[in-house]
Amino acid sequence: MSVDTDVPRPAPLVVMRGHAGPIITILAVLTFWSLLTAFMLTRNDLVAFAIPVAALVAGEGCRRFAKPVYAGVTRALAANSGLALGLSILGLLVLPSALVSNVYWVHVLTIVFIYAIAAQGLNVHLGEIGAINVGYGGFFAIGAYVSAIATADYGAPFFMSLIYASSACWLTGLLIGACTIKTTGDYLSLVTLGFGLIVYQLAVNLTWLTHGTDGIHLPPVNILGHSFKTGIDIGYIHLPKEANAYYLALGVLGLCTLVCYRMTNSWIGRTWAAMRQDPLGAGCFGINVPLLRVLSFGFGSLFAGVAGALYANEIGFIEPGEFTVLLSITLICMVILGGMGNWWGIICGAFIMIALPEKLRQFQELRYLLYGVALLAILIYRPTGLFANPKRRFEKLLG
Amino acid sequence: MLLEDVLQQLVNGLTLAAIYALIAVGVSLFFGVIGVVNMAHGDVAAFGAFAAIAAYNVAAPQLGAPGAALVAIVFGIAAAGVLGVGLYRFAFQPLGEGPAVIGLLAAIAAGFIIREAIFNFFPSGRNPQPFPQMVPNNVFELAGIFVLLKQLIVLVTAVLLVVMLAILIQRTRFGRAIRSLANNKEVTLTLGVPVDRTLAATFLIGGSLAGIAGILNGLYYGIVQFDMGVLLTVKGFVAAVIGGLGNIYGALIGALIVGLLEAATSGIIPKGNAYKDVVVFGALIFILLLRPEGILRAARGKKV
Repeated sequence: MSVDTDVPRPAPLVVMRGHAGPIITILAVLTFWSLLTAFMLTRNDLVAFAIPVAALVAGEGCRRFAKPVYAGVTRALAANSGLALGLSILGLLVLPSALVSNVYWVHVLTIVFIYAIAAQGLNVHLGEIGAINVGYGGFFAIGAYVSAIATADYGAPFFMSLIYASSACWLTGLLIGACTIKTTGDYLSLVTLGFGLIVYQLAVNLTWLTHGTDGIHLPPVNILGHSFKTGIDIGYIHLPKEANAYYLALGVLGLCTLVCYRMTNSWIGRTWAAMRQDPLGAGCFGINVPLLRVLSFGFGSLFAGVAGALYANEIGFIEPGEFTVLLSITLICMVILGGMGNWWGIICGAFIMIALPEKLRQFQELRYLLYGVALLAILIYRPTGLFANPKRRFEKLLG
Repeated sequence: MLLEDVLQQLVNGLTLAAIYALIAVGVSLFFGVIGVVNMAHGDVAAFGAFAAIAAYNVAAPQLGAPGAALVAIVFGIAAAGVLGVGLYRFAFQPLGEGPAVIGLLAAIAAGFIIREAIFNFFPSGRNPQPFPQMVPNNVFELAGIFVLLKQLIVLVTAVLLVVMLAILIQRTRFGRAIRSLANNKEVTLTLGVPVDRTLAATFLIGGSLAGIAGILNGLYYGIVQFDMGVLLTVKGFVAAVIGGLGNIYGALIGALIVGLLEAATSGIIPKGNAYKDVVVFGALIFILLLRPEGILRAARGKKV
């Protein structure tokens, strides 16, 4: 890691007196949430699409032409990050009651959370230990299938199937990690790509286990006697039945993000950073690089199991066609787009990759073409993602 | 199992290997010069095949079958070559000296765009398209083994092209520039080699080879599909990696291994056709476990 002498100088300091910081933070978060809700509730797709585009243009415009404003807002947010986080969590908790008129979006957000869980795990591979994993969808598929087979064919309760799925993914991750101790860079990307394809082929062909292309129907989820087919009624609050899975996914996402965040900021995270930037140097300082690499690979894969199990139970039906290479690539895009090593950026990345296309439905046919063009444009103009981790400004990303 | 079965599968495997080799050589060549795995390479091949179909359909009424076939082949190869250069200009060149994963993703995105463009803009491109019958369906029998004329054409073309490429790289000024680029870009620049032009030319050659592979693939199977590039990329990539990325001779060995393994699994193991990709990738993981840098990558000391 070298210190560059051409570091851009910090923007001119905006002196904030009294309560300016917290007030700006509250206003910024409120604006964000109202825009988000407006985006989801608007029935007109073009209007809905104009919202994020306008927000992006306004943000970039401020960054370029109104530096003090941009610096002031970002500084206020950075100084009051706890407040912003608390308000955001509060926003997520009350969001289902705001979306009662458009329940479909509660379901979409649930899917966003589930993908975000997987993206957090993939970030451990891609962003933390620097393993280019192009087969994360394979782990996701294993999680979904283990959970589906356990609940549908063997009648396991939901939480047990969650544990089975994550253990299965953890063990597979350890196995793949152990097989690829010496394999790095592009070679690793191919091995993982192959792993994803193998899982897909097995899901299609092992009909006695996975029912092949017929797929598996899952029984409805039931937690502690509360069936997910009934809505939530607490006092005066009545929420639709989609809110059950929403809160479950939100809770699990919060837990997984917390675990990843704590890991990254512990001695293990420091070791990851050392390993990622210079494996040889890390070894010289007494870090057992191969062992830690295998363990971390397993740790990252575990989240795919959690996400896969939640996904299978939320959709209620799985078949191999959902777990192609496209899934792995979508997950990678979430991590890259959001910004590697940035836990909240990744959640935003998941939202962009899952929720934006929902509003692109009128371009049904051209959707994937636009997808590819947008991805290429982002890679060219913003290769560190929309929300780059500032701590990594000096780091060569990978390889 | 009879000896004839084995030999028959050997012929089929060699044909597959020939097609994969043309892709793998391109993947390896690009990796050598820009250090990026071009995941859109198979899609360039598919594009070449579709361009050839379009040209054939346009030219057939005026020129008759043989003339149209010639036009189609030339147009398909040219279209793929131009697309290769376009890929370099619009996907890889703007990235600059970015990290490897960004290049990989850019290639994936570019492949996506090509595939979806065929899907949306080729007339009924979402359905499998019949590839025009450019070669008669002659079959030769040799001691109980059946060899199709198509297979012979595929094999001979591939061998000729690979030999030509080897001569180009080893014996010409341009080839020396490519090898020098693969070794060290900065030094190559200081030596006065027009790096940008050389890279564009490399992509032209690699793209054309992919186009030929796509056309041969169409010729052999008689049918092409908009997403056939995915499997071609993956197989070519596997072959290049087994041999050692950046080494075109390694790519040939890799293609041979992949083609023969595939033919053996689908032809000799009962119900093996469904598991051929599983076997190929299993072999890949096994080979990389023994030789992490591929078969023909010399063990070099690590730069510290």
